[in-house]
Amino acid sequence: MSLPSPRWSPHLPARGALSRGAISGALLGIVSLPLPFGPVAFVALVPVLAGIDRGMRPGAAALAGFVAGCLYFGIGFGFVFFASVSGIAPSLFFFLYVPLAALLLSALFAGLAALRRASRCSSLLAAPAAWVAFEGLRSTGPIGTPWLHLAYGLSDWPPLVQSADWVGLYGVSFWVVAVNAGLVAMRVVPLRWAVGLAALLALPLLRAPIVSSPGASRPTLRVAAVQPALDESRRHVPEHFDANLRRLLALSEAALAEQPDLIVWPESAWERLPAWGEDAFLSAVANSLGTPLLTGAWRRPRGGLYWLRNSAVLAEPGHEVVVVADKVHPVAVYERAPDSVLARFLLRHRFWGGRFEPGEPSALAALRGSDGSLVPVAVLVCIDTSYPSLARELRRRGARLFVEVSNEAGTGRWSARLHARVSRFRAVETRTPLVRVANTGPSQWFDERGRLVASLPEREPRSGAHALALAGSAPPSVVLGDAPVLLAVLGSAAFTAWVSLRASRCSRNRTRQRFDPFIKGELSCSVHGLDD
Amino acid sequence: MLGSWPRRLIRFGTGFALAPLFAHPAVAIDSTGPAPAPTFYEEVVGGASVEAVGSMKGGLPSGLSVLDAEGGVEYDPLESGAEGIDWQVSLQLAPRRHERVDAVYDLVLALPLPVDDAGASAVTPQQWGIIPREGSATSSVPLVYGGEKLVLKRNVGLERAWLPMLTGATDGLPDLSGTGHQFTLWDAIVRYDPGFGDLVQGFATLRYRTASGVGAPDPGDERMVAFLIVWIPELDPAVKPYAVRLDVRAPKSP
Repeated sequence: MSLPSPRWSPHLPARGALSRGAISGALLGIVSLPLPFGPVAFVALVPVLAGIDRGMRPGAAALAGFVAGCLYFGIGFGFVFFASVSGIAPSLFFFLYVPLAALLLSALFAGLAALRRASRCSSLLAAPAAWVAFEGLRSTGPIGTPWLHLAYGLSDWPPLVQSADWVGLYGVSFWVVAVNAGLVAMRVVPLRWAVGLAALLALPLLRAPIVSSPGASRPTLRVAAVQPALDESRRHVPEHFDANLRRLLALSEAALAEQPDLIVWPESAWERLPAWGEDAFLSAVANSLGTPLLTGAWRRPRGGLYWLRNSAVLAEPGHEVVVVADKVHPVAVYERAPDSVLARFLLRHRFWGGRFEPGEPSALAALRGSDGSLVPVAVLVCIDTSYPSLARELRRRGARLFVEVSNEAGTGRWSARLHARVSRFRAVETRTPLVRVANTGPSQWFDERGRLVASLPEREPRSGAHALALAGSAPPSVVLGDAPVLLAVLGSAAFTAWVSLRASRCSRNRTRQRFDPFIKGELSCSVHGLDD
Repeated sequence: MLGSWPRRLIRFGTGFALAPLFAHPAVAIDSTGPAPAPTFYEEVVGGASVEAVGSMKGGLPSGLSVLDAEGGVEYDPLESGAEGIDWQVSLQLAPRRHERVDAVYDLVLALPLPVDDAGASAVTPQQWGIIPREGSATSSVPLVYGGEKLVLKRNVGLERAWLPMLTGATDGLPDLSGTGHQFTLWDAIVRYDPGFGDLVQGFATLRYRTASGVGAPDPGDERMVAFLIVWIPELDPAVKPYAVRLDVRAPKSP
């Protein structure tokens, strides 16, 4: 049997790199849209990786990376142009973040292209680990934003992300990029290698079947979500306080018919500014409802003079109001108080509008479940759901249900759907049911496998209550954290280095091809025996 | 004080007016006469909306604007046995005008109930809430306001937060130390219902059990009063909510 030998040019021209970057960027952008195209992630990087595999120069790869990054993040964060948040903060964020993230991607692809020069397979081997490092890097720092990870693109296909309970967010992203690299490699490896590689890459799907409901025998907590659908321009305006409160009360009273164990209002729905979280009015509201009431609220921390905290408070009938969570990661630029040189510079020039300081992670709230026992519930304030380490920490502390309070009235429906994807993934990753309560929706109930139990329609004032079976024991991703991915990254780096080193030595000895097992006929020095 | 009160109401206990929906007791109610005088909160907001003069900051008022009213509170021992004494406290208030300020109200009943020597509650409520009824004692229905049946529920959180500020303060609640009773707070949030009508009227009872040996409040003690507090929490805490004073009267003779 003779397999066709793909054409290979030692140096792909920049024009080709540009188009490959554009195609990959567009595909990545599509993955990051709140549309049912998530699985495109499995092939989105193939154009660029194939180009690198075919010998794209580092400079050209950098160009491809920059183009891909601009398209990827330009499309992914395109919702900021539809935001009704006042000021230029969203646009500023976009124009700061997108080029910076694109530059990072540019460096990543250039690095892979440089590796390719040392050894053909090393670039493909290194790609997943390098991608994960890239996702981690762009999620940290003054304007780091932990959205648009490849793994999140698959959130709406729960069977595809069930391995997240072992490997976490970055592990799933690692897998997705590995599939991309594998597809490129399969073109050039022998059939038996390709079959083996395909089997290896399909391993995470063993976690896919969702047939049982492991939580069916566990106690439940019936959580009512109140979705007032208040326009951003009407929120936190004293003239609208009464009308907003009436809507919340009316929806809450409607939800009482479903006998919830907890009523939840969205992020900053309680529009007063209680000192340290205490507010007798809120206490009276909860008492009147006769049900514990959890709501987002701004507050001034004890001893605080200027900056606020974006918090969640719990008012239980017969008890004082207590703070159960602060937002730990306020959104850069438009929400977070300036905490870096860059931020202070932007603040001086009125480009930075944030006024919320980072707070403390959730103190677990104990609520009475269906069996009468006290259930530890952790609250995540809006974008805090996007931080896997925070959710893991809360889970390790005993949380058996997550409640997320959010508000995307200002950033729009697009961002709300992306946020819902993140929330869904977090439920799978931590094997913890999650209720997302968003001002403009979608408010959703996810079980511990990420299955959508119920959802309230977007942009409509609605309320509803649904019972969720509480979480069982913590999964490996919670116990081990990012350790498996870190090991995979380090292992991948070590293996890549080893292969590169061997290939380099072999190259010097003119026997390079013998040590490059993935290579088939396209090298001028063909692998013996495979073309027969 | 209760001479003008219909005997049928007195016989069965109470007439309990929905406090946040009432204005000054002295205001005459005559739909055919000149325009009625402004209600308490209409005077406070001065024609503006509550939101316009409201305060977004939290906080509790440190005093009350106390108004006397016709009506009262009566503590009646119903039955005594090995398990203790069953009591019924009956509340009533003269009909009052519907408060016309469009706002969310907290209707708070400050009601003295027995405590032990350590100051801890010495009662076991037989009801989870106080449900005002309207009509007469022989023909009444639960009071529905704003589409919801009104229920006053014990609010321990509010007691902890507010009673220390109010008790013994000028324009606050009397200090009941040494009386064997302490104030408890029962409240309900109500939203203004413009379609309710000009007048509201109702009455309510609460049953509870105490250990043997616990007596009724002394009607002769001026401190023994209950208050119906009408609070618009949106307003600045400097605005003292109005409260209707209800004197404790002697138990009915069996």
